[in-house]
Amino acid sequence: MRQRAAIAMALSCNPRVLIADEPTTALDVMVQAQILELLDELCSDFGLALVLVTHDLPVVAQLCDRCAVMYAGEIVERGPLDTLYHAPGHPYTRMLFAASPDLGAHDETVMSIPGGPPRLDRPIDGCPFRPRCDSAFPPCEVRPSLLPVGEGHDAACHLNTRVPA
Amino acid sequence: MNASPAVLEVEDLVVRYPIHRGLVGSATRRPQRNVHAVEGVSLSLERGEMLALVGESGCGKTTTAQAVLRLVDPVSGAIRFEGRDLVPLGPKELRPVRRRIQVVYQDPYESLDPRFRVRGIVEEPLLIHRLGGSKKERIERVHEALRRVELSPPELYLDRYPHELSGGQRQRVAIAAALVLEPDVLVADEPVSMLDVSVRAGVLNVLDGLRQQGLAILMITHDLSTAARFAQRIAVMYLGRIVEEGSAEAVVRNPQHPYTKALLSVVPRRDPRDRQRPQILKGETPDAVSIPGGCRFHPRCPVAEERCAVEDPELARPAGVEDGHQAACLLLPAGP
Repeated sequence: MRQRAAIAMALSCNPRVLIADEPTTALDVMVQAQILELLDELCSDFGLALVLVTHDLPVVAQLCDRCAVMYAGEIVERGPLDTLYHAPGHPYTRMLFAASPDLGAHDETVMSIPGGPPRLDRPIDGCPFRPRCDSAFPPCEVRPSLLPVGEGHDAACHLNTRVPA
Repeated sequence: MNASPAVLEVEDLVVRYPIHRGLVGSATRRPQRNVHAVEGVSLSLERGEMLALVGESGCGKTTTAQAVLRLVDPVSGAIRFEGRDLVPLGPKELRPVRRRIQVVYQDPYESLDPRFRVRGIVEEPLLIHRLGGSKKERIERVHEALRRVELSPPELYLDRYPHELSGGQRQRVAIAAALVLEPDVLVADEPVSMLDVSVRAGVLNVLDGLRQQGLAILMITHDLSTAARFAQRIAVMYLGRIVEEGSAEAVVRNPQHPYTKALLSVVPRRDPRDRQRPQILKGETPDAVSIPGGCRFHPRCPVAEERCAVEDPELARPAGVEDGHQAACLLLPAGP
């Protein structure tokens, strides 16, 4: 109910863009579903553009059209959700999905991502995800840039430009 | 030792919190009202088993856990640990039992004392329970507990303060502080809700490993995906009652109670092609002060009939489900 009141406050000046920062993180599943349904209706009824900031990938998968994955202060992958789940262009995206338990795939091992995010008060050498990545290889010593890898799909990973040996 | 395989049994547990009437209320003899937090919950937990207690906020999951820990006093019912009822025991008799039933809370940012180093946090339970003998032996136990939660080498963590650890590491320290007493039962109240997704799986895998070594875990959660993946059995609570219980597989794949079905339908799937049509229940869990008559779920139930407002269903095994799977709904055909 409090979150509904917060949304009403945000909407009171007829905005065109709504930024929702972890809008359901503190809520339980049924209330989360109510709030997500409400946000979805607001988008379609009022033509509101919604920016959802969250670490909950299943919520993104159910609600959003496009997704940008951030790591250490920059976007490492962006594109349509379906592509990000089924053909991720960055190991971090793949590992994030693998870290979320899913009702449908319940015998699968849930993986955590080893290590922690890098310290941002020090210069980052090469690909910022390299120390935690399961597919790092020598080119990762150079920081990759965000490059198109498909239709509306960009990723910052050297694996995408690797020349097959 | 008791012959029953269950290390912990809860039978017909009832917990109510009285509502303060205030001076005017008392003077005018307004009737005493209660929050009916838990109304007749029974469950059992075996060694090497994780039972997930799931439900919405305010359904009584945490109160049930607190009663098991004997932190709140039940109105009636029994809590048997290795066959011995804990409800009539006083604080002194409870003390040796408390060592064997430990708890991990939701928020590792609050549950750890910021002025203690990891060494002190994990050692403190040993001092309180006067265990572990000499200082050297205690330190050895602290090392062992840290290794069991995969904080190794322990030397790397012993002298750190909680603020120098990540959320996942803090929760591991909290688990180590529970494990150092070598408990038989661990109550984990939303152990990963406050943690970042990338470290949740690690903490859950630690709990799963401990379970495989024989620890019995009662996990309180509202996350059905986690329950489905890590628990052996799931009990679904609604307004102080268990409305469905069974093996995790059975409850998730073959839910019987309309509430369980609705809860499962709103769990977001991580595959965008798997978009569900969620069956969203209106409103929030009703007030546990005035519980609806008949089936307590009927005002929000999508399939309720007239008799649901009158008759209160009991947990029973419906037709066509496996042994040990029970649900409390009048509309289910009775099983064998």
